[in-house]
Amino acid sequence: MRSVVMKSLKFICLLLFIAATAQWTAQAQDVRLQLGSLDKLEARATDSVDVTLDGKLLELAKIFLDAKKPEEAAIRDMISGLKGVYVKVFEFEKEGEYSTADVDSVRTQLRAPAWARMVGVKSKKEGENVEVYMMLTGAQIGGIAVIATDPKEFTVVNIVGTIDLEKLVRLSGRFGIPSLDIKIDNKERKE
Amino acid sequence: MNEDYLWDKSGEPDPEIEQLENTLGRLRYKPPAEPLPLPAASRWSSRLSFSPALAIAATLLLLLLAGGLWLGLQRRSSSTEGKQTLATGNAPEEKRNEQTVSDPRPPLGPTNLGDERLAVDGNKSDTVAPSLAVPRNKLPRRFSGARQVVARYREVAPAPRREQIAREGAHAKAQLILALHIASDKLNTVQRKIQANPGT
Repeated sequence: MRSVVMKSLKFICLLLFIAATAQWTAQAQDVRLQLGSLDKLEARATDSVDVTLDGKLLELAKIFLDAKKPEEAAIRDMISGLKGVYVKVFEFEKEGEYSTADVDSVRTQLRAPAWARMVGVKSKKEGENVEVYMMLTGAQIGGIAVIATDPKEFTVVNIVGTIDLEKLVRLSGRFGIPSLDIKIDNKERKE
Repeated sequence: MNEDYLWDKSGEPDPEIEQLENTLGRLRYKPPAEPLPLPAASRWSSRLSFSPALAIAATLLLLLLAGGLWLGLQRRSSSTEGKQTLATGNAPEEKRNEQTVSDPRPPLGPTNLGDERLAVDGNKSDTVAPSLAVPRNKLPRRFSGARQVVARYREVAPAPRREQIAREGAHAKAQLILALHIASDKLNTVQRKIQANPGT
């Protein structure tokens, strides 16, 4: 009788462990958006940026940020809790090169309960729409997703991990902080 | 001659036969003495007989040992990679070391001898936790083999490999900055538009 109870307890513990692991994995996967379906747009784009940074590459990038340079030190401080950064930018020569379905392929992933649409702005004049989604884990931001569309440009940003949003907003230097001196040549942007 | 002796040992024996009997009698079969009973304690065969539990335990032990060995080797190889990465990120530091250390060999980079981020140089490094940076002449005794390990590491990580890692690191850094810049730019657009139309 006792052995039966022990076996049952072990089985329950195993089930709980599996469930917890599955949930954790599912959550981690949810934060990262699947952007592979957008790769087809690269052929039509005149200019594109595809950044996929996670794991060892992200760690390598962190190491190479120079703590003596204030801008890089700020980034280094900001991204300490970062697990992955995924960005896709497609710039087209003419309008209508990407469809609503392309945007919806990303948007549908953000309808998961873990994500919350924080803000969305639409500009009828410029035709530019920007939506910001966040995944909150407790009081911290566990992930950010930005979808920005205008007639000739489609941008998706997916940041996985904890990040200070305020510092990120200030990064591009529009609020008194000098902007980063980033030289983006065409070769790199194509990459 | 009476041959009864040959048949049933009756009658008078022949001296020649008698002599043969004496000679060969020494080689007669003698039944062995009664075998001594073994004490119960020495009956190990039953004690060490095959037991499934014992076999499982032995297998688990072997697996654990193999796993430990594999992990150890993995950690060692990954630490070598880490050293390569860190060493390439510290090219200016290495140059400084060449001036300060009188060792004719190339400058020492961070090494791993149980402590993954131990720096064997005399200067603080950006990529190595400063609290863990140990001057070469103050290496604890347990790290006495550091020089040999570092020398071996240099053989393992030739200059072209370090250059490649440096290139990859610089590229990853540029990509990271670019990605964050794009994200920041889009968030700024949102903020700007919200500020421009506070009622919306």
